[in-house]
Amino acid sequence: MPSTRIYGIAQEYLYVDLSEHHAARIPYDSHLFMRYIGGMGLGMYFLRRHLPPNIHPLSPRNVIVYAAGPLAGTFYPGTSRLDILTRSPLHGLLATSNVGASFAARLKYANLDLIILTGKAPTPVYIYLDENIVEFRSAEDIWGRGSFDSIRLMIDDGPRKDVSVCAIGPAGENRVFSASVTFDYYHSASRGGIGAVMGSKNLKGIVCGGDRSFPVAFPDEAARLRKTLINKITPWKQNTGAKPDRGVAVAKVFTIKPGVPGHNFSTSVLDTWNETTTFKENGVKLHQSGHACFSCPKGETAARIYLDDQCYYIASVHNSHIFSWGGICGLSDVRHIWMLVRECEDLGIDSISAAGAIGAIISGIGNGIIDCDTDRYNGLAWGAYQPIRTLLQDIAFNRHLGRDVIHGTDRLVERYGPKMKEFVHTIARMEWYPLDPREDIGAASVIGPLVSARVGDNVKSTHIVYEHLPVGVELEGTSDDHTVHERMIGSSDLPEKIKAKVFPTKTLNPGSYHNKEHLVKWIEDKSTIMNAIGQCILLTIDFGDFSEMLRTITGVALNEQELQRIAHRILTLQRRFNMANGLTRWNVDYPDKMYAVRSNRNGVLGKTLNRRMIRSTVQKYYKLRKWG
Amino acid sequence: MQRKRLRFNGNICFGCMQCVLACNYILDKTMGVTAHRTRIHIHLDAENLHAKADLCTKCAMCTRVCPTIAMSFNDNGTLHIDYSLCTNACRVCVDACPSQILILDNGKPIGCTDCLKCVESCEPKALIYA
Repeated sequence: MPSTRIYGIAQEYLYVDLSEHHAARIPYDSHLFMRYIGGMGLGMYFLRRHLPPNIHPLSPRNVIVYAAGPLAGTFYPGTSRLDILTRSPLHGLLATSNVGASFAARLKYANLDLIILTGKAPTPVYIYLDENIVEFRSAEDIWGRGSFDSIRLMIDDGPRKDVSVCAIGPAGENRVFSASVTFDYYHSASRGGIGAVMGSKNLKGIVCGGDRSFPVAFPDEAARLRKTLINKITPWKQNTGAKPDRGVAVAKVFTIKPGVPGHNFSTSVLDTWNETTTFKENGVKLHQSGHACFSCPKGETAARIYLDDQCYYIASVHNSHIFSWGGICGLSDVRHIWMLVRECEDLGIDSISAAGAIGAIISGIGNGIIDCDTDRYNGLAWGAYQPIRTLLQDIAFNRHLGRDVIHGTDRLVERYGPKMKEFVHTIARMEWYPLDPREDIGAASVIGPLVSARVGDNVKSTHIVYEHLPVGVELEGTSDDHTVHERMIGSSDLPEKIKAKVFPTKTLNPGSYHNKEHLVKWIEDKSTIMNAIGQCILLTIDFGDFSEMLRTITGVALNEQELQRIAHRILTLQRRFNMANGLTRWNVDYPDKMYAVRSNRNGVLGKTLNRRMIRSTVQKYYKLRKWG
Repeated sequence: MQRKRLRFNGNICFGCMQCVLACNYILDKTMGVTAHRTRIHIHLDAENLHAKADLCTKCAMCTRVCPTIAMSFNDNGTLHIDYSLCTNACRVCVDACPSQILILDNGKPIGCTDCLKCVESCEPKALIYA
């Protein structure tokens, strides 16, 4: 039984054995809160406890954990994030994905902090749960449908409409290793192939309809703090100096600097890039009223994209989509980009991995390595929307050319020989965040995917605000790049000690390798705590505020140093999980091409990655973490 | 003269539910969006992002059906409930409310008191008081 009362958390998790159609609410001890808080931290603890090493990711014994943080369901801005953890089929290491929507809040209102799923249902099912019941409902009628249809039908089938629903699409059902899980239509847990693990368990989705209000420790103080935070937080797009009506608002910094992975990393300067990233000139309108996550009053990435009064997309306008489809696949028409993003969410497939796989196939065809059905993929080339869409669907449905990449883009090398190696851009079999690391994208962005617990992805170990010179951005009456950067860094909560180490002089390029291990560690600690409490990483809330947010809701006072210790504990646990499943220090690296072949800036040769600098920074990072 | 009341623009609401969280908090300082405790309901068609809201329209139906005349609108147009007259459990007003936003809290009917916490918490200004 729970030993002491902690407000704001249910102190219960739902353990589901799909093989037996059995579910039980199990209380957990409050000392786990003190050690891991909740969300990704507690989820990681339970994943490690329930999942022995080297279990095949698609076997019934694999475990999926859905974890909500202690702030989920409260009125603090952007605090209802859900973390999903499992062993990834793509690289066999930790797959952890953080998603918005309202699932975490509904889970809390159902008086649960986590769902732990194991086993394999004999026939396709979906789970309906609220504060009173857990039901296994047949999903045979919806198996095979897209996630949008499935979500709609699961809502229609239930007694209540105020629910949050997640579902896999055909990609998950066909166990495509990059399959995602779609939440409330427009939010997805994309990276690492969590959808494939759900598909392997015959689990189509989960409907969560909790409706219970819960008390908090210090409601009056919480209300005051909420007001302060709302006034204080600056949305990410404003922090980068980009204006919302600029179109790809959050991508503005990138649009001017190099780093575009043009035509599958063959060029970092695309003639069409300006067209791709400029909405207004194309007659495309961006309405700041898209689909927000629960409790996010800023609607941080929410937008609707219109062209000629037709709505093409209504949720997260994130720059990774632009780099994937506009950069790697060379699509210049923004309508096509957002239609593909929407299609990815319906098919339930990771947009970044899918674009990377399609880019590699187009490169292979262009270089005469891959033969393709010219009738089916007529005109498959950079920027050709229709054949790219056909190939995307074929990947999700495991047919034709799509079959070659359902187990990861690296399979192209096994299938077509080593010549394909230079066209496959993965770290530990997963496509990294679609930026060309040979260009000046910042050292933390370069080493992030190599050291991150989510191997191959840098989202938890770097942040645009700290490293990029905001070229052409005006801030407080100045447009001098270094002054703007200094002010952005100055207004951030980066501790003075780290600021002095990482950015000692104004003239030093913010993207240099100088002491970057300190920056990566600090950002990782912060994003780990954000994932543990359930805070969105896009809202620039200070580290110091987390303590107060936690105290007012749970009644437990944890200062900044204690939070950092907890973050380190969670990251060490993740590291141990990955090492037990085959991770070594040097089996996570960029492809050799990135070290040997210079980037191409429209015919002018650029740079290569510096192996010595990367290895040295990674070594320093491990030393800083005391990971030996 | 038309009474001031909450007005909702579903085209600019992005469904963050902060207004409902605020309404729930006002009742007893808990966190939630529990439908039978809040006096504002947002119905979100998430797929197409069409939002509709149930709000107090000040139609005064509750004042008309109240058997003990405990309910009235004051000069400011705000609902006033005289609990010394209320029978505390007859539910007539709750059942009659066309917007279903009158709630019973421990037997007592509670309506929208124009506290405007929902309006304050609405960042896109989809909710206004006019």
